[in-house]
Amino acid sequence: MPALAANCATVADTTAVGAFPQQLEIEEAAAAGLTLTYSDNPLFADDVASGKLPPVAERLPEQPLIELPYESCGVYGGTIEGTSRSAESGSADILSWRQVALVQMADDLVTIVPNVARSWKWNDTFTAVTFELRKGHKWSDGAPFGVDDVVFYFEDIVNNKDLSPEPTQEWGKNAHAKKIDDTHVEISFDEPFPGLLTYMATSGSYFTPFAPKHYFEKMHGAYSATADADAKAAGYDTWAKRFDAVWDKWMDAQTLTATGLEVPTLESHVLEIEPTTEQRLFKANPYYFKVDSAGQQLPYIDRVHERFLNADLQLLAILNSEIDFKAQGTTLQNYPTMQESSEKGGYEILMPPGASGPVLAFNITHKDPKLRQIYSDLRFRTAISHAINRQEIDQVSYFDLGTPTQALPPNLTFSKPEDSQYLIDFDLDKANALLDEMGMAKGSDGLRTYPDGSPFTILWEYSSQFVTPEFVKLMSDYFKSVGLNVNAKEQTSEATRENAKAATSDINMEWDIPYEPTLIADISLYTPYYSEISPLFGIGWKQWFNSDGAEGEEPPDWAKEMFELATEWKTVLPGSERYMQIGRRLIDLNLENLTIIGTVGSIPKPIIVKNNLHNVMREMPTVHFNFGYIYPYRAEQWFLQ
Amino acid sequence: MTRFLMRRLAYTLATLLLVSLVSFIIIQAAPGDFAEIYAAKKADAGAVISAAQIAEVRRELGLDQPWYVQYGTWLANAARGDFGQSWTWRRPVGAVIAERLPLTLAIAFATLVFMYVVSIPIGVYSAVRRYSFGDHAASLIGYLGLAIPNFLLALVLMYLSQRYFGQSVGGLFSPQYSLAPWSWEKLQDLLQHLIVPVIVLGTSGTAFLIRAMRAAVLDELDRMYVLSAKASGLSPMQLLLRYPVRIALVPIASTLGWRLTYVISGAPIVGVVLSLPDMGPLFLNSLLNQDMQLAGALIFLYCALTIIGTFLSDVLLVALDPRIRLE
Repeated sequence: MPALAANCATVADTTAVGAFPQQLEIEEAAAAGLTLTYSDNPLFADDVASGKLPPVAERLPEQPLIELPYESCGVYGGTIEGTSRSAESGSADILSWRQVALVQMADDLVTIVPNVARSWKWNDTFTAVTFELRKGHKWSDGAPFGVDDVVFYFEDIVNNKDLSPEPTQEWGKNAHAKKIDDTHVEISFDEPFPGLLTYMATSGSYFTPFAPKHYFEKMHGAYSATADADAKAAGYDTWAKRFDAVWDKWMDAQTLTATGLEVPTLESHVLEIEPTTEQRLFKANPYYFKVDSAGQQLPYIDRVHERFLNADLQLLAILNSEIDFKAQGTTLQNYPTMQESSEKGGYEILMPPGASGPVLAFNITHKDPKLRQIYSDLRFRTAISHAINRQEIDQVSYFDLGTPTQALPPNLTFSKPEDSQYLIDFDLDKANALLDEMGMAKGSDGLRTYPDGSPFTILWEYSSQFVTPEFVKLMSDYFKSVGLNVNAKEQTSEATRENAKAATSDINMEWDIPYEPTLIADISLYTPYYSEISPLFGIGWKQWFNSDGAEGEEPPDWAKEMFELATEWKTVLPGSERYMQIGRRLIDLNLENLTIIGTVGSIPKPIIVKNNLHNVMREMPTVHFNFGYIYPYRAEQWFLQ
Repeated sequence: MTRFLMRRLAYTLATLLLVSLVSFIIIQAAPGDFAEIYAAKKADAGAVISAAQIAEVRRELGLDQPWYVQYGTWLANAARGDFGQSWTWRRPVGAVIAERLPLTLAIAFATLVFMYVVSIPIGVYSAVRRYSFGDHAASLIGYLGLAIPNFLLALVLMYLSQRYFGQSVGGLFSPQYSLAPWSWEKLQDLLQHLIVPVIVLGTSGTAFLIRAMRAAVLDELDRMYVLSAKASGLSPMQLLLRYPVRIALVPIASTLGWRLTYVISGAPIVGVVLSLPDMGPLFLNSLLNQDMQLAGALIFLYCALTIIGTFLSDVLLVALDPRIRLE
């Protein structure tokens, strides 16, 4: 490594330790005896010499964030090659390389650490949090970033009736921002929302609760008297339409068109040329607010190049050594092929456990009363769980690399090891006995009937988006082995969703297994009906609960308890004693009632890392959309050598 | 002639209108709409999209209005030459198409040239040397070309070119040239990348044309006028090119119209497989995503091309065969 390594403290260094892992604030660096002389990327040298850019010390905030690299302080230069399916499809991975938010999740995926914000402070009731911003922080166009940009986001975008007729609840109920002083801003809401920081650092990291006021005010009706006229001249009906076309909550969408060249950002890389339907190119942000422990401004890598390729071509491009890093959209099925070519392609494959196999939820609230009676019988669901040979599924579909499991969000701080093993033993005798007990006798053809003797068939309409036909075939054989007739039929995802909403489907599968941060932000994913797009069961139950019994249908006691716990959950601080209790009880209620039946979990997810890409976190606990993909693993310190 | 053209034009406009209406209804008839598919894609990546967010997208795009209002708005704008926005790419439809047009035309033109340059001489050769080894070989290869599905051929050729020639896959440029300004090296890179798509897109057409050409020339060779021309002392080559081949080109010229459209629309599946930056994948994805305004504009464009192509082939026919007269 370069000579810089001598005065470069890394994550392994025991003297450079701050309040949060792997990063220091400027006072902490001084206390640890680190003297920082700022230097920057030679890429900017010409612009600095010609006066187009100020020198690095003036571009950095007075209080930059100091990052301790995984391996060593890096060298500047190079273009990193990435690929996604198309704009806004499979592109979250590459967005996460340059992403910033007020706070960040450390790479343990538990600790929340400062990022754009230097610090934060809650009030006692968790209805307001005050963030401290960095003095002298600047947008990528050099304009100052500060409290006003946060206030603008909340007051003039989220709470503007023209832009958001129904204000979003994601930052808390009726969230508002208020300026305290030049570096302090308070975000407050009507109901306690202690999960806000977790949300901001994980699945909310794709949206940022600030927007460049100096750029947007000229097209905003509240600030510019000519906003409507300007919008008409630009070809839009109203200023709000024009604003919508330029601003987007998904930070990824903002770089889809040429307007992305103008909108300033705090991200590590900024759109450089007009994007096309084939590619995007980003260049290092000269005003990025982080330095390494030797004082070099981050990021090291000059440019990020993103090509839009379909899945088959992505694989070929990886084999052909054209991709430097890829985490999203790689499948285990392609692992052998990728492994075989890894030497020739000059890349390494990391295998963090991240994926879960398919899950099944029988429709406990099926519209058909006869089917409902069967599916709502816990004995039936228990029998199904015992009839599944999970070991075999793991071998057939996942090269025996997964782990048989009951349906359970992975790595919860409030789960016990035995939770994942609940009722998953493969035991046909037990399954048959339970079905016999229900009165579902076997006919002469070996198939079970309804207790009244009429023929019984599970109509399984599945979408190949969530499950392979091979998996359905395996499962159908398991069902048949205990005498249950199955009629499996492939459908489009749109059709399965419509059936799910109408409660006419027998089996629903669209439950994207939530992780703990996802649950903190949205506990409804672990209580009926589990999925807003494609409800698993219990739409009527939730209506009943939400309307105090005026609408819908009365849920069973266990579901009522779940709804009550979910309501309380939103008000408790993550990690607190009550939080752990509620979480524990929700696991128990879900498991005891076998609301969802799991198959295989802890499936490794291949991640491609080119050999010349350095400072990549090696032991990523998991890489998933819900954690902001690479956001916790600090891609701004990657370098090519 | 003027009346003929006016009538043709009226039919053309009526056809275009009808096609746009029917395609609008058909795209709408599929379950879901752009907003839902957008949400589903986000969900596929692991995001949780709320019903309110879907409603928001729908409201922004005007999808909350009934289909005939949407169609009316679209048509009124289209009449003024404004084909609206591509929702997927968030920019005007015209800009999206314009971006893909040059390379689409390059591929289309190269493929057409490939098809005709290869098929016409081979077709004539196998007619003149009927049942020779060369004829059998050409026929065998031709049948294979017809029988192999395009996308399969695309996959095989792509694999071979990646594996044995180390060529970058997908698109028309290597990554290092895709952003570079035009240069001699970039042109070479483009030409190298054109080989696979041109062969794939041209193979089945070539095979068909060889057979058509062979049959047509064979038909003509036994005619009396050939015999009399031979008797009057024309050299065999002159005779062949001046009479039988010219007549045999008639059926081939008459199919130029839809062949042009086929090549321009680029056989979407092949385009998707090879990740070609032409209009095929754009069209397919616009339909899959229910990106209505882009899909509408592309259907409109393809119909217009078919009609123009048919018109062109009519003119060609008149030029080739003096016996054809306008009624």
